[in-house]
Amino acid sequence: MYPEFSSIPGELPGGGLEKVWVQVTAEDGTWGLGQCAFGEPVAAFVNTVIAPILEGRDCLAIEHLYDLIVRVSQRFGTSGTASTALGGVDLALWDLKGKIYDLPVYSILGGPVRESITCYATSGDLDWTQELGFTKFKITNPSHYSEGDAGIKAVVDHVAQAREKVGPTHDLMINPVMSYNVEFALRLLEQLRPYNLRWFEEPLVPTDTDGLAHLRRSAPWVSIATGEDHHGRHAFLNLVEKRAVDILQPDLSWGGGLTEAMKVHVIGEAAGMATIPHGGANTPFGQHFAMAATESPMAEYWLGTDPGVPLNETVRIPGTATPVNGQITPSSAPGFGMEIEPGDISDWEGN
Amino acid sequence: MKIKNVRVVNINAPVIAPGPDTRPGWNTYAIRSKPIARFDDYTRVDGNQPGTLPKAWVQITAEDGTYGLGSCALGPPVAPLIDYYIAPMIEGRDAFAIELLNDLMWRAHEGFQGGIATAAQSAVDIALWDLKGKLLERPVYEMIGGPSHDHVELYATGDDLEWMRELGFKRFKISNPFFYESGSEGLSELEEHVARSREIVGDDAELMINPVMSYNADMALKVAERLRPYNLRWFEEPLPAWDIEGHIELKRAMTWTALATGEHHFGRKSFQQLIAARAVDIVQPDIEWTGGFTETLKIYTYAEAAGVETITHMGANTAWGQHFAYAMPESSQAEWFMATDVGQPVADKLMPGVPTMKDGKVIPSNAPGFGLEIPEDWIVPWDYANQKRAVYTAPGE
Repeated sequence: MYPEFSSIPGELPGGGLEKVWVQVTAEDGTWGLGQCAFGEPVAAFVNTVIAPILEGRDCLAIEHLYDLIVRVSQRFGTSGTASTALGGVDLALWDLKGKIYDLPVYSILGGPVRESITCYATSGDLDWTQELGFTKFKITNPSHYSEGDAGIKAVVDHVAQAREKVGPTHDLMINPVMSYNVEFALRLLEQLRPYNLRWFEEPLVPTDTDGLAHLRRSAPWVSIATGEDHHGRHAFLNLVEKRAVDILQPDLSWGGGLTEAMKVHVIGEAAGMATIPHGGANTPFGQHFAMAATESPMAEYWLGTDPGVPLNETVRIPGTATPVNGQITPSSAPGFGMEIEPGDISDWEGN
Repeated sequence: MKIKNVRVVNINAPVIAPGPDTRPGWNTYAIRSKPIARFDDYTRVDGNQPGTLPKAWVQITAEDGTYGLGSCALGPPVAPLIDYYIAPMIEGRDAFAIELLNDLMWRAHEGFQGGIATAAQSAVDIALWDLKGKLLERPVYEMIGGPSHDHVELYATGDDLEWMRELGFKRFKISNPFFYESGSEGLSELEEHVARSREIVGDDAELMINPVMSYNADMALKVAERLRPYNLRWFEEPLPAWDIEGHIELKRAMTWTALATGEHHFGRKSFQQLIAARAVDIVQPDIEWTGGFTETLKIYTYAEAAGVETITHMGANTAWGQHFAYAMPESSQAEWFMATDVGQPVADKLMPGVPTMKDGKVIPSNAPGFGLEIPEDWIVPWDYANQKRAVYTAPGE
């Protein structure tokens, strides 16, 4: 909508703040690591608000610690910056608990519930992802609702080409990342019907639950998925109880960590809905979730590198398993199985 | 670590007779209405009423010989479901993968969930948690992320209120003698019972009443109106579990007290429906009936998101109930059912290893698993050959 900004990921406002790592160390020197995002504001929240509350408490009592920091965050909105900070801390606590228990996190949570994780590939390079052995694909969206009919035509062409490439039977999804409004989405869905999409992801802004419910009822042929910009159990409970979605997609780092994602999964499970976290298969956190959550039939693997680069060379967190023929088997090493040495860790210095 | 063996057992616990300085407690005299109260062939005092079935226990042994124990209600019909159907499905599988094992049981029983199937799953699930804790040498409350409290705050269920006060309790739940078909006279008797109880416990103590599904929506609304002056902390399970519309009406009408229910709601789905309809203030799953410890945690999670508290049924008399309440933030108290006589130590009816209450509080054991210390020679095979026809107690027996 604002042409002065690029639409390439990483270059637009709101998408460029760097990763934040949280390290939680127990009395005996064992430590755990969690990763979240959004740079300095989140780092400051962790260091000034959360750390002073948690230090000195039982590091294994995650439900208690999480309840404490959720309560403390109420005045900060509990979503966005606050839930991202909570996410980093919570993930570090789980990593630490796994190391102390000498168990992979999925095993503490009651997994494994499956032998390996079936991944879908999020990428525009469908030839490459097919070559890698993926059989489920999510493509990007070229249009914004302000582009009107020309925008609709661009999406339809884009989807038609993708369907042609992946063939008639494989799962194909599209992700507009909040770029539509209800009327645009409805008119578009009418035209996308022949292309048999597995799901239609985050078409609307996260606050428009009624709009989403309307879309879902108007297009029963496609599943509605959303959640990466919904933070916390209450946002998901609202989606679930209004029957506004079919598939819940919390982001572990942004939405409050593993504890919150497991709660979202339980809420979805009770209502008969699947939970497939945003970018789940790219991090050990999401992989452990997928190994422990029964109603999570697949996980997202986002490809951010050029075609031809082997996936194991694209790993950003050492120790993270990568898909082979679209399947991931995460490490069974303690915690999240990350292979990060003390020498790799340095103090936060701000952006 | 794999599961080697799953079997239903009985725990041959010696019965401790009440000492000389005791007198019979409320279980021997209190008139307690239940849905069966329409039929005057049966006693209304605690005893062998239709629907009263003995417990079963489950022992799950891992490859290395470590075992976990769990118990559930409805023993006789539940035992074969576990031994003949669940055991072959889960033996040989990863003992730590409790989510997977629960999912298996739910899917296998999807066609007949609720009651017998969920009770069977409960005992198996509880035994799995006990086993996992023992194998990891960790108390279960820690494995699930607790403790969230310094201790478990208790309320006491019973009618021996002076004795319960003497024991240090400050929260009380009394019985209900009223069955909805007994009309205005029954209603007056009920009011008298509540008024007398409120007088004994004083104005500041929490007082609750538990009609155990003895009303219909019509009579429940009248009872709620009549009891208004007595300031109840909550009004428990007035209606059968299936009456969601009745619960909704009652909750809207009863602004002066909370509506609690759940001991006969089986499985997460029935709680999800109740909560999504905003038909309840406090959910009370029974860990041994609703599908187990895992299922109770799931019910808790849905309730927590909706701002509804979870206070398990009969929680604090069992190790699992103590661990649950100690671990979970939105569970401010637990139920202590008075199973003992007046003057008798309350510990007399506890399984070995289950800590007893003191001054209305309890702290669960921090020993591995649920901390049970049941002697091996108390664990005996379930005696299928001697399962007997029920003999019910008539009034006055």
